[in-house]
Amino acid sequence: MTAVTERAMDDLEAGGTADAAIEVDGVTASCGAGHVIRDLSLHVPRGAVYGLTGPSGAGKSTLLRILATLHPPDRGTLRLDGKDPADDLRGARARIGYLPDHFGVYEALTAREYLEFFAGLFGVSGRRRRQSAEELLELFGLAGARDRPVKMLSRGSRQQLGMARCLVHDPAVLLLDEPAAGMDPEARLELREVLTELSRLGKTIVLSSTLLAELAEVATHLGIMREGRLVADGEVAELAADGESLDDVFLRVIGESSAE
Amino acid sequence: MSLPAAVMEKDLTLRLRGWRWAGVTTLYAAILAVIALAFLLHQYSLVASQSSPTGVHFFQALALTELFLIVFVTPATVSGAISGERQHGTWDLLVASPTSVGSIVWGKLLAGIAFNLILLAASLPFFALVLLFGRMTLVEMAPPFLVFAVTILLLASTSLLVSALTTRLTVSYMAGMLVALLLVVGLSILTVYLEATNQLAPISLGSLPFLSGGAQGPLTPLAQIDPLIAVLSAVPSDSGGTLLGGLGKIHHAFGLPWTLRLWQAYSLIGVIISAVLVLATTRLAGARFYVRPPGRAGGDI
Repeated sequence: MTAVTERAMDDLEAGGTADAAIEVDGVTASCGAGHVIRDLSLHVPRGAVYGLTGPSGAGKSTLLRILATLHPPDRGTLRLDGKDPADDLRGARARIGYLPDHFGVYEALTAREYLEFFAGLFGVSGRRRRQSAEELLELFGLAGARDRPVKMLSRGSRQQLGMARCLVHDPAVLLLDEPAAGMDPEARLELREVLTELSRLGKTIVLSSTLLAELAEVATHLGIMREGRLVADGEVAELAADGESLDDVFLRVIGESSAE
Repeated sequence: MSLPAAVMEKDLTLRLRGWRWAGVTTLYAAILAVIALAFLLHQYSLVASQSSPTGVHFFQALALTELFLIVFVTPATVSGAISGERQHGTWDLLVASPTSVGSIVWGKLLAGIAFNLILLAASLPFFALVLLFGRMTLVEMAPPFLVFAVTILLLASTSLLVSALTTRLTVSYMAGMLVALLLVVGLSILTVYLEATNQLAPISLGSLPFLSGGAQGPLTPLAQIDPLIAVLSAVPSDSGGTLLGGLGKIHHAFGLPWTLRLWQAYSLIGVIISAVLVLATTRLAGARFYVRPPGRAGGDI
């Protein structure tokens, strides 16, 4: 039985649906006095690359923080790769790789030490930890910087290191908030290839970005958020059925939701 | 709770890497060296006899200096443990892992304590000089070191709690230092004031444990969580007792028919308070624990 099949079986036994890696039902969340996510439901199929977009302040980052189990919702339910965080928080977190929009690094650690530290946090054992770090440094073109302190890396390289960090424990679900921020064009191309390869390997990816051209290259599904609600959600091919570009889809959907 | 080894290893690596670690250790040892040198020069210009209580006085000077170094260095090295992670945007990355908040907090506490114990160990050669003068034995030197270790634990736990309550490094450093100074200097001033004005009743813990004996009368209960008074009760005086004289003993401690020395009570209470502080820190640092929300909302809000 493959790992993916095993997960699907676990999922069914736990009461989830086998084809959804992320299930969000009726989630409402607040930040301070106001609600930033309002009665949001979302199902992301396994292996999908789900592009999440919307105007600034739409609630994209908050939704990703909720999915990363860092921001408990006020209402609603959530299942991540078949795990309800309220039942098994550690199990749910072990299945997630989360890249926030702004994240810090330990500047005095080397790139390899940085990855090994996070592998340790995720319970990866000693020898496998180093192996995983080396593989990821190769994958993201950071092998030459493995023993260089993180403070000496460029912003784009740090972002790549952050992406590598998300993968140290081989998670089933990747939550990436503006992952290409700060990357140069070449690094963006490499990131796109990595995301495509990860999707091919069966990873489910939720990718938040305001750059629709970027999403158009990799996303199989698209969600558009506005004022804490998901105003459009579906396969890219369905949403852009009439040969519309994602820019056109976005403008149409936002226009329609404003009119409501 | 999983082992806090990964967080502890990372924190120690960061602390011990670069010039800062070497600088702090050198400065720490240099302050003690200056005290030692000044003391020796002073003593040898006045007293030449080996039968004088020079060793005892030397030890007293070093012990009090060591305590004040601990009071300044421990908060400075631990207060930013959590607030620094928050300020630099790495806290969420730690919390989003399957490692529990408790393990992260313990890892940070152990790294902070280990760092300060290394500094304490760096001071041992200066204390060893005391033995050259006679009148002091290793057994007599042990209690103050236990008080130092407990003080490091207590101040590290306090600083970690302060760190969990704040989000800015500067604020947590200042607050950590202030709390440490209040604990050491503030409590001592309060104790001296209460002793002088004989106002013990309002803050007495009733029949609970803390009745000090001796010709001088009882000592305020607060004195037993005061690191300075604990050191004074552990450091020998040249007349044979301790610097705190008869006040250094607690009869019927904890309501039991035994007599404890004040530094022993301090050590016990310090460990207990530290454990409580670490638990509180864990609760505060993980205040946004993921909990099951109510089911699907019926409609819009």
